[in-house]
Amino acid sequence: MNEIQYIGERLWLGNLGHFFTLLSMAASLLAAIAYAISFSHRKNEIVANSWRKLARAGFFTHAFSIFAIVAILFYLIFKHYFEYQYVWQHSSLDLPVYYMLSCFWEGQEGSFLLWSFWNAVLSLIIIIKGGGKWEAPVLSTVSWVQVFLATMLIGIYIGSYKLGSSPFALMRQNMPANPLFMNPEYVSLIKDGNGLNPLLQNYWMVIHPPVLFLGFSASLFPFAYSIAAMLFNDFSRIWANITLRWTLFTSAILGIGILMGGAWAYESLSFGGYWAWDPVENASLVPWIFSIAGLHTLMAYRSTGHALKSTLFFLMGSFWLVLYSTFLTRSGILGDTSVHAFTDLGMSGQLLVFMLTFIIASAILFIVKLLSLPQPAKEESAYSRELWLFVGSLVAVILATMIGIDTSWPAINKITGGSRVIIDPISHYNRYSAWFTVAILIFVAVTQYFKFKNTDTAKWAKDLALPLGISAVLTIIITWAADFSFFITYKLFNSVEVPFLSVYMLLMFSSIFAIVANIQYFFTVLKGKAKVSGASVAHVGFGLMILGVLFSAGKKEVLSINTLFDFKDVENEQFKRENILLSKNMPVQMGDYWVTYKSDSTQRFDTYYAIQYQQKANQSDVPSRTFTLYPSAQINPKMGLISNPDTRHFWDKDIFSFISSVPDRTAESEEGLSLKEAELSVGDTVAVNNALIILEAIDPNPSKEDYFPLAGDVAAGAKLQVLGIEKNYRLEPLYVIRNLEETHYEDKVEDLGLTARFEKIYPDKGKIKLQFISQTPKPEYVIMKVIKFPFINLLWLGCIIMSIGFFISLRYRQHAK
Amino acid sequence: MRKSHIAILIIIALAITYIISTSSNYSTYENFTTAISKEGKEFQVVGNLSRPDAMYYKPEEDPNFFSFYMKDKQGKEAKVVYKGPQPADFARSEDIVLTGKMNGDVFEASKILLKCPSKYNDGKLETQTFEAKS
Repeated sequence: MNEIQYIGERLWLGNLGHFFTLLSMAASLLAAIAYAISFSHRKNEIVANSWRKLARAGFFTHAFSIFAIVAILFYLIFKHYFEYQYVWQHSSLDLPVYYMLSCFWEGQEGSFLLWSFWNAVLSLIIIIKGGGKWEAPVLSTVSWVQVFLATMLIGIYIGSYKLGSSPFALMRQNMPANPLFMNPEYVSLIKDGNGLNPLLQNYWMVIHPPVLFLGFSASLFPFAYSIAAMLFNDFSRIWANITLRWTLFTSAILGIGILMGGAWAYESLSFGGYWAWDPVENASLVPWIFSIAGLHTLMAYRSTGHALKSTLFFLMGSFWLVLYSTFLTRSGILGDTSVHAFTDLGMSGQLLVFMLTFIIASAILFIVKLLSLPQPAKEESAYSRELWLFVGSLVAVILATMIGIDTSWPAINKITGGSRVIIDPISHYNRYSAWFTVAILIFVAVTQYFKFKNTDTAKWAKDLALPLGISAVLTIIITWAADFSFFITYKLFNSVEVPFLSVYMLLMFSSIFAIVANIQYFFTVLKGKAKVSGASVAHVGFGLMILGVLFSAGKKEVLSINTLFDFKDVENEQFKRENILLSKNMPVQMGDYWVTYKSDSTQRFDTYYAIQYQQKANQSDVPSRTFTLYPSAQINPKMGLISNPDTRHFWDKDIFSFISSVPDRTAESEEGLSLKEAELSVGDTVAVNNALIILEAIDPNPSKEDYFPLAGDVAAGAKLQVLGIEKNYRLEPLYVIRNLEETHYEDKVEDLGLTARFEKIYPDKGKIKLQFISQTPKPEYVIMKVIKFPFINLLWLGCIIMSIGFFISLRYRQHAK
Repeated sequence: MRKSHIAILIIIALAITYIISTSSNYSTYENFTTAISKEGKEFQVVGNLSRPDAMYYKPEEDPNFFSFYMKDKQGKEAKVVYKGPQPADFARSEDIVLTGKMNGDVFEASKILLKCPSKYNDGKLETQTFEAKS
């Protein structure tokens, strides 16, 4: 068979891209090896420096290649070169530029690239700022990671095994059997791309992935510094300070990235919340908790020399878990348990090797060094800050481990052949996370009041008495005012019933306690100095965040409870009827509101439904507040109903609404049409559907936009009055004879779906024959769900304050030596 | 023994107790036959839509009532009732994963997970979840 000469392909950019992927891999390999040799010659400065020079050249080449790949891939998307598989699959012509960024990282290849990109940027910062003796071992580790990431992008076959998946692969290479590619001019035949998943067409999806991946990248550095410290046997204060900065940075960025994902879910997914314990969400939460734990034990180590082993373990663990979560979300192993895992690209083997290589190598190093790690001779006191920092971190890590195991069931099932699933993830995870969070919040409140080494317990108790009292009083007032239950009965071992404080109340108390205790700490111990307030601010933010979660989730109220049609299964109260049908212009009461579906309009592919909310007690009252929400829905040919919620934000609550179902208007059938014929004289009336039609007069000189009278025409118009239920209309169908041929000009009332046709004149009878074609009105309704989230703003406020706290700390410790 | 070791032991013991006491939240993939034999217990059942003509959803009447017939992977058929709106594209789905329990002859689903052939994912399967209660 002859090779087909394709016309119009723009291959040179893709070839350049391929070239840079190979170059980036080769250069990172060079950097990894040269840095390692430089490190091994650390005793001989001249040799070490010359190797380091080579390594840097390699790394600069690598970084440049990564930047070039990013630029080329973005250019291909921007220019809509659909002969490239990645471009075709993830983008389309109608996308605005900022969503092209989302296209860039929608697929696995692009997101690996994003990860590599951040690794390269952060490493360049180390080189430029001067990494000192740490540069060689740290950047060697980073470069090895980059080698593995680069293999994910090369997409070449080694024997029959495909290594990686190239973003520069052509469509015709990936699906050679498609007959389209028999045509040499196929490029001009691809009119548009497959498009970006509509759920990702949201501004959060423009910024959430890069921030989250920056967090993943950042977590590599505490890991690499831990490895370097073990190789050097250097756990000095200088090392601790550098690592502390990286850990703070990781915790801040990863945390912000996760929260942005929550904000995206809240704004564009219709499960009604910001956190669903989805495996993909958990996979980023677990490494974050490890990083936070490592941050706290590192503080303890820096001041007292205790908790080094756990610090190293937590910091390495954080990166291990980033690798593990990469494996879980990209290998396809999560299968049907997650809504937003990546599609399997058949790289699970490669991902497994990537993960195991780093975990096993670093774990072996850790075990080998374990016994020789420096350790203070004296045991920590029971009243010391370092002990409680450690215990608190341990509690957090155990929680993270439990979440991690529960997220891994699909993977565990695959190994053991089991089939265990979690029936109701939200209540399952909430159940134990709530208790752990109570404990963590109490640690957050009290630990700072312990001093390092040893504490005067009487003073400790005295300092905490005031916050304890304030919190207890506030808790009782708020719990009572917000109508949370104080007590709840627990079933122990499925038989013994024990009354106990409700976990809501304990959470309320512990989060308020954490907030109050940290505010007091800021004013009394830190004397209000903003510079050193990072920890206090972050802790207050964390407390507020949990309080916001508690209110918005614990007091969440579904307003759209269906009371109209509750006759089926009255005895079955387990299922609340949470969706309500709104017919157009028929107000329905929901909580404090009367809600009316007013109209809809279609923009691009989405239909926006104008839903008016009027706050009033009775339908006839004057509303005290009126607003309109525009939830949208599209019947997507590829994905079915895609519903985008719309939310009204008040300072003390959100009203969240989304469309859960709409009538399918495309399924209009001929059956809905009915024909009625009538012979009428002037003045006669006929009933059609819900309207009365009166023949008022016969117009001998009719006019109509599309009728152009000619000499010789015989024309007549039937002047009809149509009395509808709400409105009256006028119609004038025409009957025209031109050159012995009959023509009928129909007239139509759109609102009623009624068409009138002037069929014939019977001059002898003095009557005319009219045809009325009426269409049963289209069903005009939406089915909606409306949820009230009280005090959800506390959650967002808490998130922002917590992030600010991290950055205050980071700034304060920026120059610590 | 160091205090930190004691703390670890206590906490791990608590965690294990807790995991055991909450293990009732776990379940396994089953078929209608086992769901019938353990009526009232929650299971996940995988299957396909059978008798598409018998799907019933009339939102004008009740927007929260949808019923259909499903055949599980062993070929056993049961009527399924879902107290929520009919998921869009339901008839086109390849596999259906139900979470719920038997009540008499009827399987009451609290959650429906659909695997639809999706063009976004290159002909691969895509899942969508629908829940009756929040």
